[in-house]
Amino acid sequence: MSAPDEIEEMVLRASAEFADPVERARFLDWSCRGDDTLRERIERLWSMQGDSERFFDFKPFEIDAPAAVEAAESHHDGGEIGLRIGRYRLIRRLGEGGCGVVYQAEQEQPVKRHVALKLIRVGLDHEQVIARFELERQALAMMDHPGIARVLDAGSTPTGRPFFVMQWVTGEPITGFCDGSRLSLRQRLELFVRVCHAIQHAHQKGVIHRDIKPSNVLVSFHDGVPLPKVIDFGIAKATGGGLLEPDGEQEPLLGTPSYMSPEQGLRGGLDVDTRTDIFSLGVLLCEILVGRTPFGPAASTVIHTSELPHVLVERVTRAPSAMLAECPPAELAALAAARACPARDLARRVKGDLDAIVLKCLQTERQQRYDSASGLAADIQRHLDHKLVTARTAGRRDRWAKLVRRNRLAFAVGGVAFLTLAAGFGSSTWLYLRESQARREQARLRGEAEAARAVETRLRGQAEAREACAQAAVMLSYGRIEEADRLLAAIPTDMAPSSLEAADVYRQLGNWHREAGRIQQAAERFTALAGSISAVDRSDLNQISGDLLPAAVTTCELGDWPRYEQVRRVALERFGSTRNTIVAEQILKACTLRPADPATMVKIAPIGEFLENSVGPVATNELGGDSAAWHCYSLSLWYHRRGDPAQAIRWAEWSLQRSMEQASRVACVRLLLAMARHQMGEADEARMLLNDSAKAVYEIMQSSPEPWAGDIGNWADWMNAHILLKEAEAVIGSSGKD
Amino acid sequence: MTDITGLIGATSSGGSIPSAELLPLVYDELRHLAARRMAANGPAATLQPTALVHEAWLRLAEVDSRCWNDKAHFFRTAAMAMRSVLVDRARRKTALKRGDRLAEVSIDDIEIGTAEPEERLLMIDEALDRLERENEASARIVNLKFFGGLTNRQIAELHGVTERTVERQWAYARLRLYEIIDRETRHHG
Repeated sequence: MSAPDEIEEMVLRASAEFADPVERARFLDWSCRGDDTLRERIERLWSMQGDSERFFDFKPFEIDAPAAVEAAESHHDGGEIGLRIGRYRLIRRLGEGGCGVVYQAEQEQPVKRHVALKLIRVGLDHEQVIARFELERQALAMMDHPGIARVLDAGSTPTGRPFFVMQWVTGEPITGFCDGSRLSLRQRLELFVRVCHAIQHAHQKGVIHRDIKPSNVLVSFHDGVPLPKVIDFGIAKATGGGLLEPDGEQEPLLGTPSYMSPEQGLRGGLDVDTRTDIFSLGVLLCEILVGRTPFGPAASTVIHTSELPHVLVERVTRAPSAMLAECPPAELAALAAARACPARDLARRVKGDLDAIVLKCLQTERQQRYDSASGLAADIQRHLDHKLVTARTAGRRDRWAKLVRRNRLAFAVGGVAFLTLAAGFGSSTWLYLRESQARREQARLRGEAEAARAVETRLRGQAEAREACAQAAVMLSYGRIEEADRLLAAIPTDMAPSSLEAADVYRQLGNWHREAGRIQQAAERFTALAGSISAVDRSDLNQISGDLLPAAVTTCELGDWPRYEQVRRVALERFGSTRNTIVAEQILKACTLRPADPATMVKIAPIGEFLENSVGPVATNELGGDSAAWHCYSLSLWYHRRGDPAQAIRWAEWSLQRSMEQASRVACVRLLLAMARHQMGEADEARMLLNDSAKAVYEIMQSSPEPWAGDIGNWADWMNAHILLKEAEAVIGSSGKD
Repeated sequence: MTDITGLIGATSSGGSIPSAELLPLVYDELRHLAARRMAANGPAATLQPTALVHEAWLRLAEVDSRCWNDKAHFFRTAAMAMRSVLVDRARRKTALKRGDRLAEVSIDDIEIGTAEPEERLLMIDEALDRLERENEASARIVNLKFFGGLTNRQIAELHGVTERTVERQWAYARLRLYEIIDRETRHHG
């Protein structure tokens, strides 16, 4: 504290003791005599006393920006209206879904327009959600179809909450629209076909909706034709499950599961493909036709997450016409009236084709559903055209009936003549032609569906890998190591899921293999570990970089260069700009284990330079210890790779000066010295160092029946030494021969 | 308080241990610290103490090689970390309210009399930077008490002074900060 401050504080404190202002003034006159500036300042500070107390009267911990918006939402007080999010101003709250709140918002730049803004609620796995969201918004941006509301923009609020901006769609949910406009069954089906085409477009771009339900299909008239717009495409997925918030704390109650496919309830909904949308379309179709979803009311009430899988699999599926049969007459009359259809005809018209189409969509086994939305649309179109629907294994009579209905006019005019003609050619020929055309159509649909699923296959592969890892973790905890390992062995190393749990499983199994001397398998697990851990945790910590070392040494020991390069690439990408000395040492050590091409050396250079700069003063002062010795060793190795034997020797010797504690490191350092001295022309010295270290390394390797098996302390360091030994022997000549 | 000093003293590496090892030792203490601040606000409190501590700790642990010499050193650093967490939050909230980008948040145009708590916090943070240059001891008290949430008693223990002294130092520091803020806002106004 400077002297004036000290005086100031003392005078201030002392003046506080005078309660009477007059006395206080007198005291100040006396204590500040001759110093008007001090007097003024004290007066000023004195006058601020109350204000300053009030100014500080709040708890800094109360300030929490995300919570401010959250609180506004949960209280429905509309406090967020008028808030600006990026270029958008919230105007009106439209509703709340499973994964967030939707607002009507106004965009001002570059054009003034209304948009729908969906603010996503994020839970604990905040960062994962954002990452998924980034992936998904790219897919969503590719969709361009009149039946799909465009995703115009996406981003995150200053507090990090993601949001989507969608085209502003006016319209009514499809079920309400159909009833309100008294659409006939045919009109309803035609409208539904348009919905299918929109869904098909998205599927071809690799986007699955996952949450098809009436409120996500909005319909309005355009030039007298009802046109659907599907909203909220892919948002369920981008936000990690949408309806299926996995953590029960936040969202104890889910929406209605009526439209969800059975597979959405299993394995956290990870293993779904485009056929999940086919299921939901089937439910929607049923509701459009007969006014209710095909599952009993018990299966559509609001339920808790834990019950979901049971409900989805165990619910009873009823055919649309069967539901009409159970319907009280009054209700049936209302349903029929809304469909501009005589009540007695409704069930008959739904029975048959439409029942079969709906039921084919609702198959629990997705292989038995339509392969694609366009396949479903085509079948409905066939029904509308009085052609055979694929959903139905139609009998002969049915075919004949259809043939007649389709060619009603021809039959009526041609009458008997036509019938004779048909009989003459043989109806079988005719039917054969139709069948083969249907088969070609099927093949085309299959091709389309397969293309649509190509993108999904990769995603599903990732989901399966995650699932396998989760299972392996459980098995490990029960000591079923072999089974756990079999699960992991099936996952390619570059598909290793990135999670702490997965990393842990890979680490344990890598060590298990190593202890048994199975270096090949150990190397695979460790490589997967390296990929997994470096993607999951972005912090600059040696706990992370340390997990890359086993991968580097085992792959090198095996001479598996492609895999070693994979590890080296991961290491340099992840830690290329580290500012942590221990991390730098480990990465340097791992990445210079064998010679590198010039481009790689350029990437390694900043790490080496950083370590050299931070260790520099340590090397010249008295600080000893293993840590410093390792730093010096890795710098020596780096110089060795740069072809600078003099510097390599300098750092190697410093390493030995710092500590000779660990025999494994000493062997490594001496091997570096041997190679450097050999380069400097000191052959005898080099050979002596080589022989010494070779003896130490072989002793360790021979200590167990299998090399590297069993309980070897610092096994990775010894393996490191062995790799250098092989290199030195190649350079200097085999050891132990003289 | 957990006997962190004792634990630090017991390690071999000359009385300093890296933050990663210290975390479990001080975690409860930090959590407790934050929880007490939250408790005063009842169930409506918005910030999870655990979240705060995690965030604060992550900032500490960023510099992994950093070692702590003693308890006072540790709490000074922890309080600084909490300060940066709280300032960030306040800045975000201000940004959200005004629809600004984070980088654009400025407190220049705020009236001292009508400032919201989060705006006041940003003003205090800025003024504290000045006070640190002018009167380091006062600034340290603000860090520990206002941002770190330490009680007068804890600060007194750390510094080996009486609680009364801490209270006086706090009152004075508060005045100085208010003066700086008042002057600044007048300039801009």
